[in-house]
Amino acid sequence: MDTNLRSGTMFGYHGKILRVDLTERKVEVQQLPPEVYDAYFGGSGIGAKILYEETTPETDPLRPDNLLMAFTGPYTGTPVPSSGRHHMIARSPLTGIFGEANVGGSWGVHFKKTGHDGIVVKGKADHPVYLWIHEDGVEIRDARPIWGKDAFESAEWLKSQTSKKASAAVIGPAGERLAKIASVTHVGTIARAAARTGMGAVMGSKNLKAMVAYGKKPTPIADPSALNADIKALMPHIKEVTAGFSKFGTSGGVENYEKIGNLPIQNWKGSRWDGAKKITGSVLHDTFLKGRSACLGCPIACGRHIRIDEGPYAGLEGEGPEYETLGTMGGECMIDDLAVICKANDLCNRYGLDTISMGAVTAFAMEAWEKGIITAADTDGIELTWGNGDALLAMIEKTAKGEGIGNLLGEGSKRMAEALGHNAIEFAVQVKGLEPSAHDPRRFFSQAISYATSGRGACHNVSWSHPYEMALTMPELGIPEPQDPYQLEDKSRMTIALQDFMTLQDTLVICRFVQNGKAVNVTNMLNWYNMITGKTITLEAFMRTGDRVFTLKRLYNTRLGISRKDDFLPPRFQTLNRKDPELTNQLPPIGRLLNDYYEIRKWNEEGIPTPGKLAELGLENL
Amino acid sequence: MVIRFYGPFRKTAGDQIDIELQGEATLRDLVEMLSNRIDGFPSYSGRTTDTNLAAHVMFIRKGNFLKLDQRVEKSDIIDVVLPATGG
Repeated sequence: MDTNLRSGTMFGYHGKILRVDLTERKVEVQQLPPEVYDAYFGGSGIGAKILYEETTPETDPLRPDNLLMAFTGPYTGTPVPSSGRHHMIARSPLTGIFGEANVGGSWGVHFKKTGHDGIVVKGKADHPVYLWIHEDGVEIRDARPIWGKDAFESAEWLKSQTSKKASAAVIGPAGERLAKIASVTHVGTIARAAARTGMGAVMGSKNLKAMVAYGKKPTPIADPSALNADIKALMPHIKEVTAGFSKFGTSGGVENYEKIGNLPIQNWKGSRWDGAKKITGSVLHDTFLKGRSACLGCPIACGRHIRIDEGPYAGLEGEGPEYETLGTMGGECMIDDLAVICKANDLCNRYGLDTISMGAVTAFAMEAWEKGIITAADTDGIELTWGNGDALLAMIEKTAKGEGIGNLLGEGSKRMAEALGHNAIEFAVQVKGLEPSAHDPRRFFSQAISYATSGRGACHNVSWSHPYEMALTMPELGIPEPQDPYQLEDKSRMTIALQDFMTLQDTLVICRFVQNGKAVNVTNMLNWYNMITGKTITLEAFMRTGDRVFTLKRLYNTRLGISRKDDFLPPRFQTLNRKDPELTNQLPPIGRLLNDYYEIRKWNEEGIPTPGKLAELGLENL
Repeated sequence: MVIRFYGPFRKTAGDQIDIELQGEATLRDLVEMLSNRIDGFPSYSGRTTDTNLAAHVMFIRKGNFLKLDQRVEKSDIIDVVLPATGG
């Protein structure tokens, strides 16, 4: 008998999910079979399975038949460090393919404590609504009083209507007006965003302003004593090796990454940029930082709580910008005014916009301005010149409110380039419609593979591999030493191992940053999974779940026509290298890397998973 | 050898220093030297693995990260930066 089912208790889960049909105003609780949890764990895994099975290639991302999902994992609500997260899944309106965003804060934990592992929302309400999710069920409530309000203002109202202790997953004006780069801002005691691939627009298309959650039901744990003891023993190590990261946050990497040629500069065509030292984490630390902020249960606390006391943005207080935000709005747009980027970050959180895509599409527009493709007639007179911080702020306002050129920016770089013509697609840096995060594949070849093959487009997080080309090791995954960034041999295998590992983490659900300084390794994660669920699975079976879910996302995309032709790198990464005596960047030979990649993945030469591979993963019947 | 400091290291150890290397040396020797002799530079003495060191500080030469057992030369310019992985 499965140990998970002893005494009728399913350890690590509540065993049920919520089904909400907004068109019918109907709510159901569904028991998920244990074998679904066993095969997909949770998070993006169960989300991918449901999206594959319950949508079709004809499903329009912004029509009622698309599904909007949020899933927790077996770690959620347990003492596992940095597991206060959840995963959002839908067909993406930005890319048209599999869409997902992982987010921290407190919503995931509060949601799971209502006694549910996930929620699936379909249909469209006939007027703006929000969901109040608690231990006794779900209420579909009127959100008209906050329609049009920003995320923070809305969250305050929502808490006043539900519980002061609740967390709200809420969209701003950008999501309401279906901007395809709209995010979902999660507001509890801190704010975090499910930013990528336009999840905010999917919520907006359903007239769903927010999902508010609060509960107290604990996650059942098979062996809590062993779990607590193991984590307690590891905690001093975690704190010791993440101390620097904790002190300066992700933003601490700006200057470092500029030095090695990883920071994007001037829409990825620049080589060096002196402005990096003005916006890096140590400067943030010495100027606006008022404290650190942590997602629920995180010992690292990489978040920045900032306050600006002087200047045009005096009074601004809240979450500070992350590295990716500084990389896209700073480096890509060449804006070296840290206060402006803090303001831009705050606006994006309020309006519900992905800071990566917003920064990247603004940089693209700045290059279009430089080339004369966009003129003052298109921008209401705003000069989209490199480094113009006021222009960035104006573009955010226009994008959120759907004014003028903001309507184009909200479509993302690919669609905007297609609309502009003049071969602008040549300098629209994106893969499958998603703008890359701030890591240069000409500096880390694993990033090239990751951008080309990630299920959601140009995403670094699906492999999170470049740290393993700098300092990290994981012997259990065949990475005994940090790999040379430009080494071709074994590059695809290493990237695949890490893609599977990171995908696994998105099913469990846990933050990437526990890997910093090798604080936590895959063996720790496996042990915690077994202690929580009462199972005794092997490392091989554990990792196979990552492979299964990664492959399932690929299957979803291949059903939509995705193949090798779409696993490209933008022209800029293939034809234009960075030039500086102190930089070692090279153009990645993506064709060779892809050949290796498909062979190791057991996909055919067109990038389609083979029947043998599907059988190996138990996906043959899909 | 020129050591250039960035981020918080610049604040405590200055913009840059010149170091006179005696004989053959590795990054491990350099870390010991900086830890023991430079006022304002944190002690990273005894960090035995690259991963352990890189959790706190990274050393870059011509755009490449140095490993503890790599040779350093008198003519080198080495940048000392915060570790980071982005998000």
